[in-house]
Amino acid sequence: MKTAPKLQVLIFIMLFLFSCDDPETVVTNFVHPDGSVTRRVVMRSSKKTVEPSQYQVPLDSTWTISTGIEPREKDTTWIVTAEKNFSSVDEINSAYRADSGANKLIKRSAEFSRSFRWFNTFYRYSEKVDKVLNTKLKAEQVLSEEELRYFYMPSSMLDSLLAGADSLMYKEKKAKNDSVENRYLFKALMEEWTMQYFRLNPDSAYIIPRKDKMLEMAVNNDTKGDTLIQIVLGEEYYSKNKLFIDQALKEVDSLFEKAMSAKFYTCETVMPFKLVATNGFVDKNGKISWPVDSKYFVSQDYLMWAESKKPNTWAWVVSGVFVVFVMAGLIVKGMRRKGE
Amino acid sequence: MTMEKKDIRYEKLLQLLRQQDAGIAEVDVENLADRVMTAIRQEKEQPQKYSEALYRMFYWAYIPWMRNALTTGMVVVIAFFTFQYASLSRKVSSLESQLIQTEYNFYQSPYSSKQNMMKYIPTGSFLHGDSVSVSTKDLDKLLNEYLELKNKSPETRNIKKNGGGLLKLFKNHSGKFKTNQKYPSI
Repeated sequence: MKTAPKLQVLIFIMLFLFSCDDPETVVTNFVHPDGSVTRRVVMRSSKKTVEPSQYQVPLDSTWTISTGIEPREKDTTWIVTAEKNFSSVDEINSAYRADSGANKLIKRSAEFSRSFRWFNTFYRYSEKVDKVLNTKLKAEQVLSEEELRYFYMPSSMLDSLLAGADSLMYKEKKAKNDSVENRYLFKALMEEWTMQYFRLNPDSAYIIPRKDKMLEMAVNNDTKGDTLIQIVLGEEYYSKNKLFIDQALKEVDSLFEKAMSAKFYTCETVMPFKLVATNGFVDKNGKISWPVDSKYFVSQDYLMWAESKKPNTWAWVVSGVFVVFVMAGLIVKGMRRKGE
Repeated sequence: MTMEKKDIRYEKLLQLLRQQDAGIAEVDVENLADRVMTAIRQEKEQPQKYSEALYRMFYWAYIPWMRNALTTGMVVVIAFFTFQYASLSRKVSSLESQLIQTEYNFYQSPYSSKQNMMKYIPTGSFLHGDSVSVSTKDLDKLLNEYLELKNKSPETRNIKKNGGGLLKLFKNHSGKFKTNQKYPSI
């Protein structure tokens, strides 16, 4: 296939990038009731300074940046801490739009809302990473509830489970889950290829019945990519439509490269008042964590949200007085009727 | 001597009292019965006054549309309260399942990995389900060996470095990609 050498180049570039000493980044959002957000970025690196091109989240000179060290047995880890207070999420969104760091290719946004619900006021903060592929394949469509739990689990948490008391059980689960995860990602890529291919050559009647077979062969990894399409679609069909097939592959390649360019980091959020719901992992101090990894936003938007509540005491009092008043009225009326 | 003075005072007081006319003499005997009856009636009317106040306060309860409206309002408030707290209770119980029970981020902790693991020993989290007793020395040795292995493991290093996920997937499949394969799925 014509595009195959390009993939090797891509893998080479990626492997080169992997070898770069990217900082381990944790972004913590301290959300305030008025909608302002104090954002703290902690980057741990073996180097004293972190290049702006390595920043996983947008940082600039308006941030308060400090550097510290964390001595370890064999080496020293440099900790770069940056902090800034954003008056609203709009400022965060502006920073995301102007991002020129390591994750500039992925589209991210933040949202804050406050909703009055009489007894309580609810606060919701969310960050979203837009999907990279055009196809809309959700992980829920492929993974079961338990598999989803492992899928979204921070890798470091999984590490600790694998090192824990039931490590054998978790290892087995992980192996099974890896295979299912791969299936989801393969499926997403194939869906994208199909979509791109149909755009160029709307031959759904021929391709759709063969999609499952292509996926099975891809997941089981028994067949080389060169021959996979030829085997499944047939030599004749492949030769006839090679141009479209390659063009569709090229489109997928470009999008996948964009997804691959994303650098992993951990997003944390601390909500005001009492936390009531989130789709992240919560520690005992109420801090919520989400791993931001490319696999989460390949074919679905990755939404990290948290919701907290503040009880409205005055509303409780008003409601209590009202209920007692009405009930008393009904009782008094009932007693009068009895007396008569 | 003292007794005499007291007696004199007492006598003076009696004299003064005797000089005063008896109260009953001025009472209008004819109206006495009426006055007594009025007083009794007023005493009986007192609870009715309270009842009147209650009636005024809860006047709305005797007007059907107001009674219905306020009762509906009360039902709505109670129903809304029940719904909101049932929903919140469901959310919170779901949240509990998301609570991380273990220290999951070794490299982000201000403690060393060993300290991290040691932290869970008293709570039983680290050795959960293990009834075997070990000495502190053995445990220390075990932890040291574990940490050494963990740090040496290339997989662990890669996970820490790359954050796992799709990147790890790509790395795991790098051998496969070298075989001129565009994508494993296509």
